[in-house]
Amino acid sequence: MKTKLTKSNLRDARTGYIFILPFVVLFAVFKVYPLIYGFAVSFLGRNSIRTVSDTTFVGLENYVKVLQSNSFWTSLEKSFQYALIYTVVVMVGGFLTAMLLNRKFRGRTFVRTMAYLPYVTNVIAIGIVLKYLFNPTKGPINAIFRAFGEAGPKWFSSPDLALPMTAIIGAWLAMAFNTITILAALQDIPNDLFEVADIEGASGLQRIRYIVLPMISSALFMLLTITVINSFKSYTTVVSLTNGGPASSSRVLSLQIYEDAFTYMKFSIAAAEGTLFTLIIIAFNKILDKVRAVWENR
Amino acid sequence: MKKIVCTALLIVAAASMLFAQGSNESATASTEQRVVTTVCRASYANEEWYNRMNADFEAETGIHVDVQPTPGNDDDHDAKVNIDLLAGRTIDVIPSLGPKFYYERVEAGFFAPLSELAAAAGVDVNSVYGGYLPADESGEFYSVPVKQELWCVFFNRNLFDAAGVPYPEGPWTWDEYVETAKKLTDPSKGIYGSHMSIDPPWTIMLAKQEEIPLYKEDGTCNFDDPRWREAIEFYATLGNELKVQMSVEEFKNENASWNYYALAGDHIAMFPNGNWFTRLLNSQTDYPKDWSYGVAPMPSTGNENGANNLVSMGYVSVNKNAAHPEEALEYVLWLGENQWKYEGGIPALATLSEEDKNLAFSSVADASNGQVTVDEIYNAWINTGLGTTESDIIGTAAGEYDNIVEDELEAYFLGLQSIDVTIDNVVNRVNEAIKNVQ
Repeated sequence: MKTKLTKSNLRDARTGYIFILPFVVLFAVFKVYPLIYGFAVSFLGRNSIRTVSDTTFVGLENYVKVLQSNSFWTSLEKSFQYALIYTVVVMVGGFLTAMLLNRKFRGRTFVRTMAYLPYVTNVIAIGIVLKYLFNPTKGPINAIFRAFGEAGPKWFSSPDLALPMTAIIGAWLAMAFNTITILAALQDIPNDLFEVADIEGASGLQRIRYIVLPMISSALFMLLTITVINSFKSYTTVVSLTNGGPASSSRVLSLQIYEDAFTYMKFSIAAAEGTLFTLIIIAFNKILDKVRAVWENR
Repeated sequence: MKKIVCTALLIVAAASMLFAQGSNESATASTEQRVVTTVCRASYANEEWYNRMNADFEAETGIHVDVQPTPGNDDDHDAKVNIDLLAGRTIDVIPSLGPKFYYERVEAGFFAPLSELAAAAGVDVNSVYGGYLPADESGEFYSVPVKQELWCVFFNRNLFDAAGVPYPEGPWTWDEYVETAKKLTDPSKGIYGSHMSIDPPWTIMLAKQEEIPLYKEDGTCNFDDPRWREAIEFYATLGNELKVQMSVEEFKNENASWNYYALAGDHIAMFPNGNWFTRLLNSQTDYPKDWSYGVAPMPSTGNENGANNLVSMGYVSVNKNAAHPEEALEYVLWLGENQWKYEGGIPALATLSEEDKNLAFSSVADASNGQVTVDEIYNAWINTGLGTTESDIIGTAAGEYDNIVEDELEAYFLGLQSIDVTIDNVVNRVNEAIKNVQ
């Protein structure tokens, strides 16, 4: 059925377009254009400061170079390790914190504010403070270990701990968004269900398994998708805490892409890496979509 | 009514912006001041000598120097300058400290050729700069040298006095350096005889001094030459076995940065670095310390070809897209002859009068408040009996080569991989980097 466009409808439509215009313009300038430009550059031979104006089409040569390079696969592996730790901590931590904040206790508002604080604090500033707190020789945290006669872990300067520590801190910074969203979902669960569970004598774990998780599963899947995407955006956290070290032990792919582009001026290689990384993230989200569809249709 | 008020406000705002712009233009036009633009590291912008130098240039020539500092570390600065050049920005004068990107910028054609311009300005560059002028075979050059940074060993006089060890003097070898460091190291007091940063060239110092090629004749990586391995093992021995300096693990734990010796030199006896480090050691404001420093020449490897000091040149160039090319040329030529007087560095001039020599070194000696004398500086920097060789990695994919060496060596020093794996990794990764830019 066609709707007749009245003067009023046209005015409403125009108002709507005006409202979304700033977003569309900015999105096109800062997201769509760089994406297309980056994709195009990945097929050119711009891989040194000398050849940056080069418009020679090299086909898939940059992709072949990237796929054959050890550094790409090593960094990708680090990115996956980071993403795994980050996603688990954000999802589980966000859920547990939300469950806690859903209870009534004295000072709940204050605790909720505190829980949200890391999310709005500057990452670089947090990095500086945390590097001091976790300094193995001068930091107050290892001072506690030393009080018990132990040197304590090396935290960011240990090749084994640097990446997990960075991922956990990245997760802690991001967790508040999940906490708030899950908290809102929890508050939408009808109380009747819990009352019935109480009458049936359900345990706490049974209440979570049979009431809470099914009722907030849509919100959880939505958060999982966002968290997985964000888990690959680790550049700022890694740079502020370890800068990829020690000995490349926390060198994630986003850091490698940045360095290839802006330190070594290998723009086409970096563009190819970025394109492949984007495709991997898209593939991941497609898998998540499938899992969600299966879950919702079971 | 609301609509009318909003429209009126918008008109007023637009008109005020227009007139503000107009008044600015007319102000500029009325003074007609000549301007030259340049970039610098953020740390330079706050240094008294740098601002005084530009003020004196303005007083002498009437050209105002508009400085655009870049935040971040040296890598950030280089990246910003490279991006500016690539984007065709019209900033006039580009400094290149160290050769890492200098040669690439020249090859990329970012700089204006200066031979004809300098001749037209009446400057005989060959007699002024001699062998320091980075001219190609045709005699063309794209930069003017403003300074040379020569290496030396800084030492803590108080720790030498307390240990009853005579101050080091040249000529000496790395074996003698190690023996001296052993005498000064006292673990019970947390004192180390030596401190060397964990980056190149410290970690590959001996091979650099012997001028072992970084590339084979076919252009591939030459890091599998046994002398690189020996140099790396020498560095590792200092911290891990002899324990005359912090191990790399301790170094990382300490968050020891480029300025660590100036911050924590009270418990470190010796530290090889470029002469520029005197600026930090002379600054009681930024780096207050209660100990005195001295300077000694760099040790040599003891081998016939290892009697070389490391040197790094500083250049200034005129951007080929410069908005003010005449002013830029004037500024560049002026810096070549004058920057060292303000910075307290070593000039890159063909001939120096006795008065100039005295001025070059007395500015550092004066700023040290009696810690070092003109003679000591001259003997540690110039009168060493050593030749010179470039301190940095120069060549294809130089920046990446440098970072790969740093990464892989760090893994070796931390005990994560053997020296064989380290050498193999460096060679493979550097060859990959070379291939990528070809």
